[in-house]
Amino acid sequence: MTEAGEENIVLEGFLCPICKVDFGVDLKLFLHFQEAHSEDQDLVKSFKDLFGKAKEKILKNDIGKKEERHYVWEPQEIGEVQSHFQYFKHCRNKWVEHFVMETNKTVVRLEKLLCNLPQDPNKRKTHEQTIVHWLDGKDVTRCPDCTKSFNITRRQHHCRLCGSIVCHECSCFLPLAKAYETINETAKNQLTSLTQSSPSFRLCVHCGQVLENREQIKYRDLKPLMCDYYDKIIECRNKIENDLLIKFNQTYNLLKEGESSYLTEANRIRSDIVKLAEAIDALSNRILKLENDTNSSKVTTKNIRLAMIQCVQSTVLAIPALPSLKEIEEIAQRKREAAEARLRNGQDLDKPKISQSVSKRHSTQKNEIKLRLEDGWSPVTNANVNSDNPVVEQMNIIKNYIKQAKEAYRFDEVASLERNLQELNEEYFKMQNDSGNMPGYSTKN
Amino acid sequence: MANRAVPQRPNGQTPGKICQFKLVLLGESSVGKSSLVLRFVKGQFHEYQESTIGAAFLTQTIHLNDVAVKFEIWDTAGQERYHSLAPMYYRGAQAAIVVYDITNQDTFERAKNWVKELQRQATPGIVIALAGNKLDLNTMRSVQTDESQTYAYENGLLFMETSAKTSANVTEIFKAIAEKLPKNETTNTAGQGRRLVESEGANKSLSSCCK
Repeated sequence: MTEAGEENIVLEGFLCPICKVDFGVDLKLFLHFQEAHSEDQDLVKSFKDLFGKAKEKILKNDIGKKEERHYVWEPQEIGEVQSHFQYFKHCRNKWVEHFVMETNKTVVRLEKLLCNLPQDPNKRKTHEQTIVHWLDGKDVTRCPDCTKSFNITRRQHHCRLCGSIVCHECSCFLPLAKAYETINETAKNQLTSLTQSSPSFRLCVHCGQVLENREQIKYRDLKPLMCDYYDKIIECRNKIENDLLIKFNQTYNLLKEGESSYLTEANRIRSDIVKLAEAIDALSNRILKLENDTNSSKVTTKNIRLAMIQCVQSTVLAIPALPSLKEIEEIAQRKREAAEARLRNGQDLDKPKISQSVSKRHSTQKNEIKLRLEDGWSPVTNANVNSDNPVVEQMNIIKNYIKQAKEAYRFDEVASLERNLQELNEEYFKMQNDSGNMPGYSTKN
Repeated sequence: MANRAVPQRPNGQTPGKICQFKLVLLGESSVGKSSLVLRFVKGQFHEYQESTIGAAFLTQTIHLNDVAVKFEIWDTAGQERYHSLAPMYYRGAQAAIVVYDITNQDTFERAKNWVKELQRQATPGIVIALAGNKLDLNTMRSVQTDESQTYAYENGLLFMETSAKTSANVTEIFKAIAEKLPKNETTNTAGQGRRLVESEGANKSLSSCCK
């Protein structure tokens, strides 16, 4: 109804927004509006459009601003690094502390429970209640874990470690044996007497989880013994395959060429290989004899043992027997004779054949040993020639060489060396001219 | 003493031509240049050869028929610090051995660079030999024989895989170089007067290299 007050008019009802007439029913108002103000609708529409556009613009602006805010982060200085590690540590430490405290509390309570635990169920219950305060059953109507209400079939149970009330489904049992294990006590005499009466504690899932985690952490860093042995085996194997066998083959080839001086060395390497092979054998045997609970680990140990037996056999059997000293000397003798024969014939000097074959190489080398021993000459490099400038260093070396060559009456060499010294001198002065301040060179001889 | 001054050649050989050649060894450090030369000159091998300072000088003569080929060997240091010295030694050289280590691919690449440098800047007609050293470590090989063989063939190099340790192919490679070197220029009749000819010999080898 319309209430006419001159100034502060409050109109109610189905009013036309333009001529402010009350039509009583919505249908009437609708029709009136269609008839009388159809031309005004455009106006409304245009208003709406205007608002829409404004809205759009504002939204756009907002997005733009957001983008701008993102953009602010972009031009960071290159290479600037911020470490969030401290923050991470802070957060993590809080958690770890909380967790550790919880665990410790639980374990301490468990220890107290286990201390002087009575056998009689009733006494035991009171003992448990003196250690941990049990929640009053009246206060709890629903299991806090599954939120199901308690009734005759779903009965209340107390967690022996925290005293809270849970239903049967939301609780677990800690066997006494495991409980003693947890607090590092091997009180077996107590255990046997207790097992018949009540073998376990009822815990809520939460406390159970805490103890479980603690166990897992305990065993996390503990590698099974098998791994230790296996690592040792691999170490031995690598040493044989990557080091000793290569060395052995080298020395063995030398022996086959008649170099008897390598015999002891070869023998030593051979015995080293055999020793390591024996070690592998023993270790793999020990792995096989380890106690195993699961079938799969039994299979693993068996496989390791088989593989190692095969490995040892293949390496040890592959090592050829060493020739005896006599045999080596025979080889050397034969080679010497062949070389001498060739030397007498002069074939080798007439047509020296370059070949990679071992025997030929050996014989040609033998041919020239004579020449080499008489002719080869080399001065000794004096270590005390150090200088900043390699050219100066070299000049000092050459001077030393000349002195040695003169002493040995090697005048050809003296001539060549002096020529080289001359060149070095020229080079040195050229360098000095190029860059005014080279490190000083003393011209004294 | 007097005895040591004279014997530039072994007893019992008829005096013949003596050719003197300058030979330079190039290559990355610790590929075995010094070991190779020491094996050739003295027949020795040291497992822990000290690294060369500057350039070491050694001489050795080998006899091919009645021709004595005397090598004046300049064993250059492989370390980077001494690379400025290398040109002085390969400039007048008639022969060069570029050494690499068959167990190390990098040294082979470095050897290729040395070959390039020699072909550009050394005496034209220099005899270059490529030596893949440490053949005794054949099991650890990383440069295949085929690869270096082809490279040597394409660049007209002598090529051998050597081992200073077992002395495989050491003498052979010097011999191959001696054979390839021209032997008609410097001819000396050996004898007592040999030691007086030093200046003459010097002049001759000076004229033979491009300075």
